[in-house]
Amino acid sequence: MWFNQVASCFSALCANAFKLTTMSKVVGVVKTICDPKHNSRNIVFQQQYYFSTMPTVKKDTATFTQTGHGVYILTTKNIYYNLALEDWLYKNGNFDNGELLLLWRNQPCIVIGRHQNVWAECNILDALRQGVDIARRRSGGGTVYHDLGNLNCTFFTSRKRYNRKHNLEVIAQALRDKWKLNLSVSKRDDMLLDDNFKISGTAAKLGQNTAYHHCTLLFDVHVDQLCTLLHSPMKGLESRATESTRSFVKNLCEVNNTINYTSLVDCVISEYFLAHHKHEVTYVDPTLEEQFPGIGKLQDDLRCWDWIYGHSPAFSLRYSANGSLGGITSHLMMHITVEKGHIENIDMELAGCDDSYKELLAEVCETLIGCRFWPMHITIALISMQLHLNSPELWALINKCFSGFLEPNCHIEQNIKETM
Amino acid sequence: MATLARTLLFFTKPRVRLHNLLYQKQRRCGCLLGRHLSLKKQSIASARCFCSVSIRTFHTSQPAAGQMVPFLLSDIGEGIREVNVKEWFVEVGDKVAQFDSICEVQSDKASVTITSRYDGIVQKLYYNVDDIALVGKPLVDIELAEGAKASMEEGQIDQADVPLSTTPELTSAESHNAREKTLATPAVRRIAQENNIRLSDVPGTGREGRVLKEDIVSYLEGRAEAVQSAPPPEAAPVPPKPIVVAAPVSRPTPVVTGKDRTEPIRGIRKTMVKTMTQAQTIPHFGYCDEVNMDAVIELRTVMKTLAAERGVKFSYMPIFLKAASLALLQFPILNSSVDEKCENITYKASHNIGFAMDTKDGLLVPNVKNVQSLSMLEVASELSRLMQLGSAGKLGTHDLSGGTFTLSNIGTIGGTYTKPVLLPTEVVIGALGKIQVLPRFDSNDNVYKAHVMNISWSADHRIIEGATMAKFSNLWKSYLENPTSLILDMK
Repeated sequence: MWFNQVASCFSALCANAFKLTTMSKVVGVVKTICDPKHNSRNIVFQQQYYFSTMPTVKKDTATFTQTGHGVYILTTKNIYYNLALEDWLYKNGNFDNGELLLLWRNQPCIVIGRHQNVWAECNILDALRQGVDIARRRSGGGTVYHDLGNLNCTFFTSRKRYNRKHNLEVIAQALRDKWKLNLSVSKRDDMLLDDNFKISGTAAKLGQNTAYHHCTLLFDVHVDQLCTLLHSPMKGLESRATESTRSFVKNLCEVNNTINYTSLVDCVISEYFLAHHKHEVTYVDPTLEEQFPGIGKLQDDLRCWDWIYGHSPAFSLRYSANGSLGGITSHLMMHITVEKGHIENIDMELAGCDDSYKELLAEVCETLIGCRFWPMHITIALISMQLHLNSPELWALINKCFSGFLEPNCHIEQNIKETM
Repeated sequence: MATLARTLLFFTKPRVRLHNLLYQKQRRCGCLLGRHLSLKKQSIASARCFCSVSIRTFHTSQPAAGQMVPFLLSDIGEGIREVNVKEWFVEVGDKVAQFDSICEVQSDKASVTITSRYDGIVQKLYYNVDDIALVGKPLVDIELAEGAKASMEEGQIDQADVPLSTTPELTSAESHNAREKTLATPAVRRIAQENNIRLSDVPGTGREGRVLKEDIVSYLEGRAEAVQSAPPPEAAPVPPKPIVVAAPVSRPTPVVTGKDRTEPIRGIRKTMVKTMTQAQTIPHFGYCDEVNMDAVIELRTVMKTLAAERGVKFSYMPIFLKAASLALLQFPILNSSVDEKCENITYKASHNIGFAMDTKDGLLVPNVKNVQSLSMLEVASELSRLMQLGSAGKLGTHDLSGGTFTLSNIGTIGGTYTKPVLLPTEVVIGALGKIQVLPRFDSNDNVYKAHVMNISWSADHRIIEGATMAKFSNLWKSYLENPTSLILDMK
């Protein structure tokens, strides 16, 4: 038992020492002898992990061919770079003769599915206030919350060999063998603990020749944060976007407190290698442009507002509020249609006040049409009308209607950065 | 000619003969007799049919140009029979090439990109976004272009058959082009066969190493040249594979040339249209000058180090803003606002100096509140806070409204003299050009290297006179050229 710990410490040390940004070839060998008690197969097997550098990508080609089975552990915790690497491998990778398993995790972030509506899936303003990134991935499926207590696994294969159930079984079997967990894979490709709690969600992307399947694995996530952030405060939102299915979640560490990042990664890798008879783990830094030409651009594309928010399918919202206008209590109702992230149409109705405000309302509607559906942009549009000067009461009422949407009041103390 | 053809046929392998026979027969006549006899593998003589009418054949695996072909939704796998159409990448009338993306469909958490099998023009989309599409039914109609290339089913099957552990090896020394694993369309194979070229010898430049017609042509030219000049035969040069170039960060998005594109004006640009149209009603006058920046550059170098110790980023802007605020104390009319009909003037008490920010969203003008009561370090920290919020798209009403005076540092990008446009409700705007190194005369009439920056002011001529503007500008300039006077007047 103690030998295991020493060996895993040593392997972690070696891993950190060999975490490379240079192209020099370094090979380290670590032997890990697994305790037979933890192995239901009752055999002692030796694993040799070779920590090596990335296979060199030729500069004049951008294609990358994978031969045999490989495992990459990504060293950044930036969701945009990690998703960009998936995108890069999907576009440039040739997996006819090989398969790849990526293991990665991120700083707190919310990742929504390709065809989902951001506003309906999470609390955007709270997320921004807390410095939680919001990203949209290229694969389908529902919304998930990531932080350092969540391990992501991506299986890259050729289109012909794409098999989600098989991939999930590899992970489930690994966990069952090591920690005797009661795991099952549901019809929707969710991994359930004790048939009740979801510990893993799945999504996939299929192209002409390449396909990838990625899934999450919750081992020590902040569940409160997950629950509050994945709940949208927008009421009256109608949309035809893919909706997430809510499930009860549980952390693996609650069942067995020896489950942590290191032990989980070890477990998954050993099961993967056992099945495929190859032992090469590579530490990869997705931010290196020389190893992944064009990844900076892919990362920028994933970060841009038009992809994350603007790509939401069309939806409509209803807002209403009561306020005092010229001494009379009035009721303002707004019906906003948003398409491609911009306000396509807005109807405002003011009940219980005199007609002098009707013209002003019409002008407000006309100004807001075409405006990006984002607090700063709506504010700029309304300021350009001098609404806060000409009619502060109407301005206050509109603010109230948007119920805090226009005043995110978030002050950034520090840049959003990637931490290694 | 026919005799030659027949002789050639005789000397080729039986399978080739049959294939060529089929092919030749169908070119002359598509009658059932010819095909039936060929299928029974009879000799050439008996397989000849007697039709002399040349009929244009219809061959399902080689569609002719100009033909409308329904592109069926192919099998996604996993027994899935229907999918949700989520995005269209093409519209009716768009030109598509083989392997271009047509649409994105979603089925049960998997997002699938459907790519085109043909070159041509899209004529009809069978589904709208969010509709359910059925596998095996038409997805789009494509009108085939000339020399249309259909994707090779053969090529795809070749790839699938390769087992994981072995690397694919090209079958060697077979002259029958159809059996080679080199990917090429039937049209290209025919040209290669006519010219007695082995497809494996030709380097392919198409997708996944496909051999294209252009490759065969260049290979032939290369071969002809080699024969003429008689050096040792060189291998055909390896064609450059498509290079993905990492784009530098500041390169602007390339504009699509050759086709006009109209789109509605939205977002911040629409607000700018409104603001600038309103500003046009105000009569502007311009006043420009030149400022010697030697002293400011020295000052800033020192201040930058000091500010960095306190964790604040320090550029030239805090110095410009503070100097402007001090000068405004002497000329309060430049910090005023007039109402719409220009009947009343309001002298604003606080100097809320705005600065122009160019973001990817557009032009933003947040302002620093109460510059008159802030120290230069505080101004610097406010500036960096506002710039961070602005680039992240998180500025609020408080930061965006209430400005009384604006400075635009366009010189960080470039330019010397400009003609800035007022922001409505303000009466003055200043635009700073870039700092240039130019020869100037010093007090002893010697030429020396001076750092010079241009300043261009625009003011509302209904309220502000030229003299007022000039005096203000001179005062501001003197603060910059003699920073000690800045310290003297600092409140």
